[in-house]
Amino acid sequence: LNFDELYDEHFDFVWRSLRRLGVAPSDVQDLAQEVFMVVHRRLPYFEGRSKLTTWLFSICLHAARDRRRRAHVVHELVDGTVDERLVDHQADAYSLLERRDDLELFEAALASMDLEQRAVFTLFELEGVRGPELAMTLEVPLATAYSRLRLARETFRRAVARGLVFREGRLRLRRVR
Amino acid sequence: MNEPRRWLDISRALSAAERRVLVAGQTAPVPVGPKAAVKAALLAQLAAPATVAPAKAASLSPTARATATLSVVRATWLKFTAAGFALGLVGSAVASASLSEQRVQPALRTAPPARASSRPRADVVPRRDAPPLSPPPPPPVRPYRASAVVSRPVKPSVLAAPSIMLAAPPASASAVPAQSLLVRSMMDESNRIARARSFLRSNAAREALEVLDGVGREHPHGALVQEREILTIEALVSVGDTAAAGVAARRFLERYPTSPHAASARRALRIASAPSP
Repeated sequence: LNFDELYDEHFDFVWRSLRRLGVAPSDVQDLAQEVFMVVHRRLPYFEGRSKLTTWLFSICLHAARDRRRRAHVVHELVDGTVDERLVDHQADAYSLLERRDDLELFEAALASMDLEQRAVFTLFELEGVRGPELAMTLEVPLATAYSRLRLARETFRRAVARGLVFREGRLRLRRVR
Repeated sequence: MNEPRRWLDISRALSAAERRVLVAGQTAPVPVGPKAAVKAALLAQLAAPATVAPAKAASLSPTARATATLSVVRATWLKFTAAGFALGLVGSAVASASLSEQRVQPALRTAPPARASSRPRADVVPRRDAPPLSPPPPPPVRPYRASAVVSRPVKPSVLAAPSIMLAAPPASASAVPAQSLLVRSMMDESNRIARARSFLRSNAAREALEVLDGVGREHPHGALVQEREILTIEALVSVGDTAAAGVAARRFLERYPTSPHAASARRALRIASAPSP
């Protein structure tokens, strides 16, 4: 396994994972650099007991968690869209009016989850990681991981439904005008 | 426990709209530019010294600082634990005379270095300012190979995956050889690109092409890949091979449409597409 190859092949994965974990677009570049610094240091000791992507994701998760912790200290918004301490679902719903395409709706749905829910949702639904590997990556018992997944799914459905309703409402409003 | 299945694997788990949203998230595009920028920054960061001296810690990124702080806290904790452990052993040694003395000494000698170093007994461990009893072997110096960076033997005792950010790097993990290899690679690429540029400026385009060809073979994914390609295009124009220059310029613009060198590529493309006199 070669660091250069790993970088080339998995940069996109790291970037996407960081975004999915709620890292603001303006911060992703810095954090990706920090993640790959850790990867560079740890790669010789990667034993292949988990998939490489799972290992990378766990590094991203720690980095995102660390960044979030620091952001709370300096009272800055973490993901640029929603600060969970200040969640106003009404305002969030209205802001969804401005989002048109499905990707934005997806990001809005993730933004309404907390970091742990995002992590399990991303790993399970998007990356297909399950069972003991899922629990090991998240460092929680499997039952806890699946419990978080259930909550994350509910949040996702609610957020998408809300987004679709407002999108529909907006379209109607346009037609009336 | 009921093992859940992925939504995307179940045909009726989601409505059409929900599925569309989920798939959009799964295939979210990644911007092209940052990949090279992060790599260049990474190489520059790797060129910095590995040890975190207090004076230098302020210039590090917050995550690096946090990791370094945790390492220090952990080392301090280990020191105190080791000191307590050693004091206990010494106490028991005093109580049980010569028999315990025979047990304590081997135990201390086989203790890990981090623990032993905190024990202030000159007969077991040298003072901090004294030279070590057996100096560690110097890091091996090897010629640059990209694979060499990660081909060091795997240490079974080191954590495999989780707690990455919180775990201090292992004491024996010498990052210096890997860093110097990467930095050497970057410097080599940079020097050769500079040499090619200088050939090109002195109207020696064929020599420039030779140098650039070599750089492309040895650093196909180097940090300066855009510079190499744009110089190749310029050199091809200079030697009159406008057809090849046009092809290369078109490929460059497809790959890096927002590159700062895109204007040069477009200029080369215009020259290549211009009717020959």
